[in-house]
Amino acid sequence: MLTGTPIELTDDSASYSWLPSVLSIMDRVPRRVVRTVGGMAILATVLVVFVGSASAHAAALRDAAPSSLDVPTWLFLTTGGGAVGASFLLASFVTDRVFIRSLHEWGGTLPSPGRVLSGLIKLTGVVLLAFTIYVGFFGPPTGYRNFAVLFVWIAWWGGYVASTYLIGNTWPTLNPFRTIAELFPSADLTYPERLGAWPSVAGLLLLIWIEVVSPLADDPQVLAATISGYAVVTVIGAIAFGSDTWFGTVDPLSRALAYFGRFAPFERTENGIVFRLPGMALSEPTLVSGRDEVAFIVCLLYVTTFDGFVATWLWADFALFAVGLGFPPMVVYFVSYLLGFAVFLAAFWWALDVARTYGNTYISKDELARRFAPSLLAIAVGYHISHNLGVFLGLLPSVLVVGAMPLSPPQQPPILAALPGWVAGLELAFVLIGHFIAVWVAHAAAYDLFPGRMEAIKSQYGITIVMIFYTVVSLWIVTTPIVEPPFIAGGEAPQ
Amino acid sequence: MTKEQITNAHWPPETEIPNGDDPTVCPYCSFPLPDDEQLVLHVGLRHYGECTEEEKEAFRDAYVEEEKALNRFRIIALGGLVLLYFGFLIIYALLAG
Repeated sequence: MLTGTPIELTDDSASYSWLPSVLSIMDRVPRRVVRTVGGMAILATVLVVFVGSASAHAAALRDAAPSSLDVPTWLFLTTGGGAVGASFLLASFVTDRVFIRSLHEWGGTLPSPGRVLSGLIKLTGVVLLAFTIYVGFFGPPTGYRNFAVLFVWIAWWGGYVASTYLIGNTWPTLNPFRTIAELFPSADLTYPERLGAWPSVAGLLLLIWIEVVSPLADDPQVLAATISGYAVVTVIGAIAFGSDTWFGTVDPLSRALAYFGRFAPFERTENGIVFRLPGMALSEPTLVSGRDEVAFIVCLLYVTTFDGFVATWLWADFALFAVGLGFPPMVVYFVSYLLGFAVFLAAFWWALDVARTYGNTYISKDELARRFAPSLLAIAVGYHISHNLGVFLGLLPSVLVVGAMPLSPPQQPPILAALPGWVAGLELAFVLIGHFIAVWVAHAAAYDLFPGRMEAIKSQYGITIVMIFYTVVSLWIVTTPIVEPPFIAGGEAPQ
Repeated sequence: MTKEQITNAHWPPETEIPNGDDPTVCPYCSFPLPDDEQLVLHVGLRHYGECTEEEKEAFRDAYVEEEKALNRFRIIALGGLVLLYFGFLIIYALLAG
């Protein structure tokens, strides 16, 4: 499985000369575009990092002829896993408790923005939502020419979502569903406490399920209908239970962006805008309060992985095999989807067992789960940006041009084909930085929990192994050639 | 360095003692710990301001003792890093050649 086709690495693989061909398949599901771009970018950067420095040294010795290097898949994957393992070893050298805490406590407070600005942001959100739904239903039927598709997948998912962790979470203000719901008086029904955040876990699984099995990026009308359905459920829910309860507990989108916002350097609080080092708030003991929220964070990481996994040959082979045995295709997809989530939860739970054994402690597994789960958010952030940066920059001109004339867009909206090579470098850097921050956050949380410094380090064995494994799996997914998932919308019916 | 007391907000974390285990309990906050070494470190880190001179002394000794184990681990970790670095370097060099 690890002996796939060798990956051809040449000196110019960092340029985005392949971008136009990637973009021409924009009428397919964007996750595949995103996967391709992300994968190639990571690969290209690994190349630049390794081949670049290697050829620079070699140039002193022999002719600077363009050289190429075949990096086999297994080596590429092991390198990724090795980098994560190395970051654990490096973190283990930092054993000064006061220094560790000081990094996480650095920060200050700025004044909050005024009500006029907030009002304008709310209005913008509602106008953009209405416009997106309208263009989705009545605009051009082709995905890459339709403003709704471009806006939702490129501007919102690729750009805006990135701003929630790179700058700060502005979704509570911008959220058009919240603005609409707050126009109505709340019925103030009592939310059943025992449900906790579980509805948001189910909601996230459902949203990504819809994204995987329906042509949400092919077909603007399907997209507009999905957003409308989501709007109806959300607004009714928020009116029934109150906006704060609904968007603070049940709504999966608000919860995901709120967690991303905990990574961000800026955060709006009651006292004003707090600033800190990126990711350092993830070690706060109160960030996650129960199994439900731990499950949500694991789910956030899992759904991205599953979304990519269904477009690999391994999945295609398995799905064809399982359907050949007589199972209905949708059952195969759905059962695998849930089983995969169970595997992720089990791996995390196993890592906590290891932490409890090697950490020499009576602290419960639930407590360890609550303290270590937020570190996974840093990984999710790293992968989000690496999957989206190239696509976002490449298709930004399309968003602007199609946005300027959404009902009669040009036949071929412009794209930025020649992205500089350093963009690919930046993408790989973000994956690595995400992992480093994750390892560091777990390290810091362990130092807060365990009285012994050696025990704190040992408690990270299981989590590090799980993180290495996850890195290898996700690097394999992003670099494996994309295969149309069989049996679902957008995929060819197998012969 | 460790003179500064660790903040006690959100302390203690939830614990779960396996059946049959007899935990050592912190005299200041009743937090259960599996052995005396962990207790000494815990008291020094969490209750430095309120504990006795003997406990402070024991904590300083345990802290220094811990440093030895940490140094052993650091040497192994450094060895691991060297292995990783040169291992990959050699593999890439073999492939390039």
